[in-house]
Amino acid sequence: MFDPLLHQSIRSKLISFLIANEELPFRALKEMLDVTDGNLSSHLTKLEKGGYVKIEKSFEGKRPKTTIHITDEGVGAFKKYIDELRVFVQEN
Amino acid sequence: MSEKDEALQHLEGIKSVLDDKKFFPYNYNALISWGVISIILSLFLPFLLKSSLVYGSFFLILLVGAGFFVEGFLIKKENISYDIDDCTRRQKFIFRIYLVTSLFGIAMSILLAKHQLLIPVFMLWIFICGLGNVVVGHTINKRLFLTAGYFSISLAILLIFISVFISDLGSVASWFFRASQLATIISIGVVPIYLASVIKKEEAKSV
Repeated sequence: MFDPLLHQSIRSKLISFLIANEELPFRALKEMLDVTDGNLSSHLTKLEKGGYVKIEKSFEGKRPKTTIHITDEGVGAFKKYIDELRVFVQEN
Repeated sequence: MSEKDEALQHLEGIKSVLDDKKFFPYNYNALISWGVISIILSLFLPFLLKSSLVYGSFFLILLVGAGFFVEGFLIKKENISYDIDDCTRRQKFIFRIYLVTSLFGIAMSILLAKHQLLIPVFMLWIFICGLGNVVVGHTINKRLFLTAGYFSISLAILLIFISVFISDLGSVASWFFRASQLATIISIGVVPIYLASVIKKEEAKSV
């Protein structure tokens, strides 16, 4: 019924953080969500496959750096998901 | 858990993130350094400006510059720990607001001192710092900053109102000078140091 990519506690919070901040470094997201590297990577991969986030990998000197951006599709899906949740709560 | 409870839980989780979790890496030692700088300026700047406008202005620019240097250094250090090589948009916005208001404050302080209006210099800085705190409070959603900001703004307006009834606003020996100096030390010196220590304790608990 709800978008399976968003109707999951970690992923819905992850997208919310990106909505509030537009883009975030991997490390910041990891700290804010209090999850492991592997856990976060797995959720991000799902969201990236769905087209909701864009993962940008770059190098700062010799250090790898990962930045996560929310896409327009992700913003739209998030808004639709919130509306669906609200309607569901009101009707039940 | 029913489907409705689950939906409500999701909504609550999302709301709490959108309300409170705006990402703003900041080392609160920078706020402590601003507090110390404010106390030093409140104690000595009026006397320096009175004796020499040039030395007073130099002292003011030097200390405000030192504050920005410490702030920049600590933010850079904090950002590196999050893999941020430059600054976030929010940091840039707040930095610009502080830079512009500080330049305005410096220019106005020099102008007021030139016309022997030393007490209004206190009101000016209380107001500017209060406004800065309100902007920061709104931008990063920290209630403590908002409260401190509105407190400072109210205090500055109160002092301006009282000053209407004071004839000499250039005297460094009057009771009103001492009262304004004390108000400045508390609102832009002690309060920021207290704020920083409270937030640092909160952050230490949440880790």
